[in-house]
Amino acid sequence: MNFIVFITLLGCISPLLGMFLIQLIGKSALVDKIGTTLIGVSIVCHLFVFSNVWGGEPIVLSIDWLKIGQHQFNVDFKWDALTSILLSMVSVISLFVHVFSSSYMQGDPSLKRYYSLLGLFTFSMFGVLISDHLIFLYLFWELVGFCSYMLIGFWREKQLAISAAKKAFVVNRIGDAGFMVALVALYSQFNTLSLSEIQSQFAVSELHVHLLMIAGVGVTLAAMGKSAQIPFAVWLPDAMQGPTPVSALIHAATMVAAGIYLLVRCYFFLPEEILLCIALVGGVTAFVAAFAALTQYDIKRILAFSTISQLGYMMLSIGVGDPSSSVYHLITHAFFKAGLFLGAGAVIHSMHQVSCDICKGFDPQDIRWMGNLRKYMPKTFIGFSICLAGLAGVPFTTGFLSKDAILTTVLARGLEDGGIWIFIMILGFSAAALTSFYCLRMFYHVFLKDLGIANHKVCKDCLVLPKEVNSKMYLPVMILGFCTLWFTMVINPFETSHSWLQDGIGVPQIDHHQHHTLAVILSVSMLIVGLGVAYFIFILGKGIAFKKSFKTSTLYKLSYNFFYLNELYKFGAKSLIKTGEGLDKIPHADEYFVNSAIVTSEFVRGFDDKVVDFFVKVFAVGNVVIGHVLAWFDKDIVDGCVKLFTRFMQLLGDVFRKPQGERSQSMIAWSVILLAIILGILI
Amino acid sequence: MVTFLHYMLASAFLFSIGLAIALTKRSAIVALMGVELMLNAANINLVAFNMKNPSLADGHVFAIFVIVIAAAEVCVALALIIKLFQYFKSVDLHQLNQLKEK
Repeated sequence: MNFIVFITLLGCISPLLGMFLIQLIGKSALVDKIGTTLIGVSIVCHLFVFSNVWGGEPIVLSIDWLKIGQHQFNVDFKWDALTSILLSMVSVISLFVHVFSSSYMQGDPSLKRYYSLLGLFTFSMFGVLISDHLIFLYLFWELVGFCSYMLIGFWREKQLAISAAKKAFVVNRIGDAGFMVALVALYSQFNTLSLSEIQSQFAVSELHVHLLMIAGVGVTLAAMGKSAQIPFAVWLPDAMQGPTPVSALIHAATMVAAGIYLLVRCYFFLPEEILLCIALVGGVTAFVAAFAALTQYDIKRILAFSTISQLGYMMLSIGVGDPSSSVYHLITHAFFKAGLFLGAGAVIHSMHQVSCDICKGFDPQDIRWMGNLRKYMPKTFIGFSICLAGLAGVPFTTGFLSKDAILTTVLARGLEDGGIWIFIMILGFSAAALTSFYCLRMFYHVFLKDLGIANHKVCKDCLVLPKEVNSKMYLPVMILGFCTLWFTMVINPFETSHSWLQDGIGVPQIDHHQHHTLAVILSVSMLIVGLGVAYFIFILGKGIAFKKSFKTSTLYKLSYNFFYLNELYKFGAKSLIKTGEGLDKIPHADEYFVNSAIVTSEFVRGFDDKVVDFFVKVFAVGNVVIGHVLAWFDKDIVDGCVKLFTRFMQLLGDVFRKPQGERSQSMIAWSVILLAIILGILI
Repeated sequence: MVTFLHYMLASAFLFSIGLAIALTKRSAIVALMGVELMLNAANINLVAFNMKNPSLADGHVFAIFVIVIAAAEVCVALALIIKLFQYFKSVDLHQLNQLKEK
């Protein structure tokens, strides 16, 4: 094994090593340091690999694994440009989460479990990224799901957390079933599950369209489950029941990114119809989730819906045939969303200290209780607001660049192909306006307006003003905010495509230069519309009457309850159970049939008893009798003959044997007799 | 009057007794005695035939030869019997049923 392979493996395994070390050493004071150090090792290794792989040859590691019949399975790992950039991104985000957690989770009794799971989570995401063999990808995929289950339900004493974890797991399993089907379909088509081999076969071989379609649907389902697209989106808002840094990890780098990554990897074999479905799902998700985020009050819930919405953008980008923009957005989104979640964690952390026992109904995550935090937490404020600008897509942020790259493609596709693509395009652009609206709303509620808790009649007296969190918490937020600025990607802040990242990752991208300007103008105007309306409503305080009437409207309820998707599923499940129970109670319309069946079966039983069994018995008895007769015949007749013959032979033997010896006197006697006989004959 | 027939009958009688003894007795010595009886019956026969034709003395000579041979035979037979007795610790003919050493 040469040096570079060793480094690549070390980079991927080091979080797992961290987990084992934490379990072995187990001193809670050391736990966070071990975890953070090993993630640091990972980053160094991954950056080294990145510098080697970027623009060069991918590193491939293939080991014989097992052979079933004639089917050979290998352990295939591959580090190409896409993998290595994502590995670096995941490890960097994971490092910030580790650092942040060491302060945020201080004093938690099960810190050991927490850090072990963080390590395992990161490791399994690395596994998903490097696996070239789909079975391994599936294994790590499940491991990611398992870790998210454990981390979402980390606070086991909270009933909500447990059910959220279960929900995440179960919803993901539905998608995973699709993955399984896709694996089978792909194997039956290509006779291998190595993605590189599939890709090389794809160009040359005759393909079965239906199998590819099935595989495409399966892979899409899996990605929709993991990336929380619209029918499966219900688990992600609940997943915030876990610790906030975990949410940052799930929403930014690990869990939800896995779905997008899978689609990007499988992009080459997805048929056109599947791509349209993906685009449709992505567009609807982007719009609906952004719409749901408009009215939420829980800060983490707003961010969760925004994640769903941004993931919708990524799906949309894959659907319109531009996976490179999707990866681009995945990475930029990872940085600012991690920053936002960590920032929200910091805000929640300091809001926790504001509360006291008598403040009934106080919720540290509710943005109505917050306000004016820019004064109390200036450092977090800076980091958080840059990240928020990224999310909203304000120019001079990476969020603007990547989102416009997507929107440009979507616009180009809409203008060129028309039909349903125009609908998708409209969804995409209006989601951008909604995004900027809820971003400003959140910004206003958290940082600008008066401190909400200070206006409360009871809590006013015991109020402790929120403080800035310590450096372990605000530094990650600020650094992530810094990474959200445009110059990390391109020099020209309005050049949305062909960043160094997009050019290097090696997935197909389409040239959409002619629509570029129009797209930028459109998206900026969308941003301005959203921001303007929010500014008008919240900061200027206009339209209060409209606001009040809106709060009682159906649209508001739809938005607040996320289109009643949860309730719909619950209702569906309940009505299914009820239908089942009801069916049980209906008097049987088919009683006649049942009765006749009973009578028939009785008759058949009687026939069997009386007739069939009788013959069987007669036959059996006859057999026994014949057997006895045969035995007698054999014993007495056949054996008798044999015995008779032997007796005869014995006698004959005796006749010749007796004279020859036995006794000397009998010899004499025989000789005398014979002599007498001879003499008798002679005379 | 003792006739030729009486001699023949006595000889046959004696021969039969000797044969019976030789066949039935277990003791080798007694069997040997039976054999001697048969020889004597033969001697009586020889002498009686010679009496029918007295010109030739063949019968007498044969009888003398037979007596001499019988004496010699008894010597040899007794020696054998003694050897057998040393070996088998018995002169029971029923037990003397093997020629090979054990």
